[in-house]
Amino acid sequence: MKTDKLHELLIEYAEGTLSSERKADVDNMLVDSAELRREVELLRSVFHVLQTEDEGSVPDHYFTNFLPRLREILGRGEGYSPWSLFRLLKLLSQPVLALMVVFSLYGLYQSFSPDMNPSSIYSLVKEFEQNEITAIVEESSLFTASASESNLENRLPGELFGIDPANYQTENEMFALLEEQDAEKVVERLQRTVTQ
Amino acid sequence: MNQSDELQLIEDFNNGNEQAYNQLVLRYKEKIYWIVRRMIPNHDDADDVTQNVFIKAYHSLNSFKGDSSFYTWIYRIAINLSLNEIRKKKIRKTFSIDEEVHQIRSTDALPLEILEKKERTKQIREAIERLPEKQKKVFLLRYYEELPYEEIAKILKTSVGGLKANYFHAVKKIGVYLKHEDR
Repeated sequence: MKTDKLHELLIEYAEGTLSSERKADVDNMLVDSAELRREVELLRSVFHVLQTEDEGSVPDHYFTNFLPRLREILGRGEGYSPWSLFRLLKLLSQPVLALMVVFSLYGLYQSFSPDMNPSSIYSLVKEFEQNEITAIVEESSLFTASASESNLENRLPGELFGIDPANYQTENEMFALLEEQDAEKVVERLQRTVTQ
Repeated sequence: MNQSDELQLIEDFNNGNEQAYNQLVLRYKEKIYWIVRRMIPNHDDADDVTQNVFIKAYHSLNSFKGDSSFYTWIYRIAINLSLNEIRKKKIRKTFSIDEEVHQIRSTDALPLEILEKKERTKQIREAIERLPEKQKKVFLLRYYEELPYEEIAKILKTSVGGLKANYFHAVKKIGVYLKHEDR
């Protein structure tokens, strides 16, 4: 006989729910096996004790008041409950924590790394007065000519920035008329020089 | 109320009829309470869990597909929430200490027969508490709820053969524990 079949049979025998025919079969088995007799005795004692169990008390009107109390809770929640709110917070806590870590790391990186973005440099350059720009350009090693030379073409080679100095009378005029596009070229060139 | 009535109530509820849910609560509140109470002996804790069962069912009923009956579905919620609660609060310890103190205080004036019954009940609950999780579930559903193995198999999503073995071993373990307590 298969074990689960035997288990079921012994349980039903101990519970007293077997048909008389099947009960007689189990009686025969018990005659031959002291171990089975011990098992049946143990099972019977459990079912006997379980029948004496005190179910426990419930406050008066508990079941009568259950639905109104439940409705009150559901009404307060209007679509969510403390339970679902707790679950939602629990679900969101990990991604939020991960995002906070990522933003913190990015903030740290930003505070310690120099901003080499061309547009940032350009916006800084734009804030400078024309003479300040001139001073920066003159200090740069890009300019090979000496300050005494007044020829704009010599001081600011046309191929350097892709700008034709012949179009301008003075440096100041040139910088004053520089369009944004030209200013970007200056910035890019300065950047390249710095990184070389 | 048969299964098709229940399906109709669920459909009505999902279409916005709140009264339909009330019908389901009225039908199952006691059964659910007692299955929870047998796992969580303290009434207040059992009440909290029972409420949470119906709150969870309320919010999840739109996902009920009708693959199983409503009571199979809600029993599963009840058992899982009860076990979560036991894990969370470690009720086993609380029960053994609090209930003992409570019983000593509240039973001083009771007749011997009632005292013995209460003591026996406490031992039975302790024995059930000590069962492995699977055996505990099977025992509660089979003995107290008197569900057929086929229904328990649906609730616990397991085989009938395994359930029979689990039930047999659960009863035996309770017997061994009670025998040991008698010494």
